[in-house]
Amino acid sequence: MFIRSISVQNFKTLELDEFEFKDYNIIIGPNSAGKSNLVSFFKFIADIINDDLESAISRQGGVKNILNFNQNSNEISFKLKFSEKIKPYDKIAFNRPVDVIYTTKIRFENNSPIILEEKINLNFLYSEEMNIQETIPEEIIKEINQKINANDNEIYQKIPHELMDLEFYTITAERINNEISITTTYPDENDLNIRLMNSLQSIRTIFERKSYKDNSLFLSDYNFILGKLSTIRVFDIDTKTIMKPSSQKSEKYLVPSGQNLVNRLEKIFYDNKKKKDFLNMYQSFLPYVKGAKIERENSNYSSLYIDEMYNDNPTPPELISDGTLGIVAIIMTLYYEDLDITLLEEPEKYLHPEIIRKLANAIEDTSMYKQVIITTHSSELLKHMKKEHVIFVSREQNGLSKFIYPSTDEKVKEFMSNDLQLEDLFINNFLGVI
Amino acid sequence: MLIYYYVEGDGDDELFINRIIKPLFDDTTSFQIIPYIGDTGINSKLKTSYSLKSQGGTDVIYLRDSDFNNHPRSITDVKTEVLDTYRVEEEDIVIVVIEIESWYYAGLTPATCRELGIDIYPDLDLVTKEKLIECALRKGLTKKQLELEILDHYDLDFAIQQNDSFAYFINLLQQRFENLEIYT
Repeated sequence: MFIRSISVQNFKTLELDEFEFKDYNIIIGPNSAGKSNLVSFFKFIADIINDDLESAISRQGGVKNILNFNQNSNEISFKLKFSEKIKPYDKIAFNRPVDVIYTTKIRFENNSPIILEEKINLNFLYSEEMNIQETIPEEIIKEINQKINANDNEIYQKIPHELMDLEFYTITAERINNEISITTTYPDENDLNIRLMNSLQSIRTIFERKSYKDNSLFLSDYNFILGKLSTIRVFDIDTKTIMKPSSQKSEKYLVPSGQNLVNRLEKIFYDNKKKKDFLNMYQSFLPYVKGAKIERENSNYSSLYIDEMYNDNPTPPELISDGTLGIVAIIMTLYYEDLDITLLEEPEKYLHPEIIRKLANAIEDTSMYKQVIITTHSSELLKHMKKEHVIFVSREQNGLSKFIYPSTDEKVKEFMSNDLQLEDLFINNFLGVI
Repeated sequence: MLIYYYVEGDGDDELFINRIIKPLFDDTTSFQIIPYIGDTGINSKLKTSYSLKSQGGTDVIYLRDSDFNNHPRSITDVKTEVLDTYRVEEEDIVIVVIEIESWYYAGLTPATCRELGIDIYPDLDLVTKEKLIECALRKGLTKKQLELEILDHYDLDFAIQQNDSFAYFINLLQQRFENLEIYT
C-alpha cells in the first residue's frame, strides 16, 4: 500500500495540507530547507508503525525535537492516506483493506504524549463473484488505474461498480474524549464468507482492546492489518558500517544504516538461483564485478568479498570502494526488502554519474511494486528523473518548509520553455525564488 | 578498438549491449555507451567520436527505436529524422524495430518461453516496452528483473533468425569487425 498524501501540523518545520506523493519521488532543496524534517516525519511514522509511539518519540531525541520550536503549541496532528497500487494481474486480498485513512492529534505534557483524537478508516473490497485472492480482470484494472492517475485517492470510489459485482465495507475506529468507538458497514453481512468475517473480527478486536490509558495508537497495528511484517522503512546507508564484519545476529529487515547488510545478503546467497539473480543485477550496475561471496571471519562474524575483473583475488571488505558497496545496499533496499514504502536518504552518495543514471532507472523500475521516496542534493540524479516526480523544498520567511512540484509551476514551465532544464534551475538556485 | 554506442538511454539498450553484444568481441575491443535522449551536448560528443574515428581504432554505432507504433513511418523516414537532428553518419545508424524490447524477446526460443512462463508472440517486431512490462507484472517481476532473466536464457542464433532489425545490426557488426565471434 502506497502513501498517497500527508497532512501534518507543528512537526518541526512541516505544515502540510494533503500533500500528495507519487509512486516514486525525488525530494531536492537547499540545506536547511526541510528535507531532513520530512524524512524525520517519515521515520516517526515508520517507528510508530513498526514499534510504538514511545519508541518513535525516543528515536527523534525526545519531544523537544518533534515540536516546531517557533510555535507555542505543544500539540502535533497528522493525517495519512494510504491506498493499494492495483496493477494488471494483481490478486487483491479481499480480507485486507485497499485504502486506509488515518488521523490523529497528540498533545505533549511533561514530555509524555496524550492522544487527544485518533481515527482510522479501513476500506475493503468484496465481491460475491470472486474468491479471496482472485485476480481482477484486466479491463477493470485499466478503469481503476485511469482513475488512480487522476489523483483521486480513495480506491473504493474509483472501482467501477457496474463492471462487476464489487461492494465495499468499512471499519472505522475512533478515539475521542478517551472513548473508543468502532463502526462497521457491510453491504450485506450474510453475503460475507467465513474467512472475511474472521479477518474483520480480528481487526475489530485489536481496536476494541485499546485502552484510553495506554498510548498505543491504531497506527501501530497497521502492519498487522495489512498482514505484513513491515511496510515502511527509512534508510540512510553508511558504507563504513557495511565494511565492518557483521554479527550473525540478524534481523528480518535491513536496518537503516545497512549494518546488517552482509547477513541479509548471506540469506540470499544460500539459494543459488537468488544469488545468480542478485549478481546479474549487481553486474548491470557495475559491469566490472565478476562475483561476490560471504566469508565467515569466525563463528560470530561474516564479511563480504567482491570479485572484480581488475584483481585475481576477491577484494576484501576494507578495500572495496564506497560506491561498489553502496550499490549492494541500493539493490538490497530496492529489490530485496519486502516493503511497500522505502525512503532512501541520498542514495547517490559515492556514485559516479553513469551509475547515478542507472540508479534513476532502478528507482522507476521498482516503483511498479514499491513506493520509493528519496532525498538528494544531486543535480545528476535530478537530470535523470522524470520531472513530474520531483518535489522541491524551500524555507519560507516564517520558518516553515514549503514543498512544491516544480513541474506544475508556471514560472518553472516558463524557464524550461527556454531550454533550461530543472537541474539547471536547481544548480543556479532559481527554484528557491519561485 | 573502441566502439562508441549511442543509445536512447533508459538503460535497456545499455544492458542489452553489455550482456549480449560485448561478449561477442575479444578483450581488444572496448565499449563506450552514450545515452543521447535529453543530452543537449550530444552533437559535440558525436563530433568528437567521429574525429577519433578518422584517426583510426575507433568506431561509432547509433541505435534508434523506430517507434512505429506511435509514429507510423518508414525506416528511411526515421533515418532522415536522425540525420536532420544529429551529426551522425547514415552508415552508422541502426534502426531498432519497434523498440529494443523486441530484440530481448527475439532471443527466447518457444521452449524457453514455456520454461519461463512467458507468452510467445507470433510477430516479434511488434513486441514493445508495454508488452515486456505486462509480462513482468504477470510474473511478479520488475521490467529489469525480467530483462535479466531473458538475457540469462538468450539464444543469439535464434534471435538473428527471428528479428530482421537485430539481424541487420549483427550483420553490420560482422562486416565491420573481424574479431566478432558469432556462430550462425
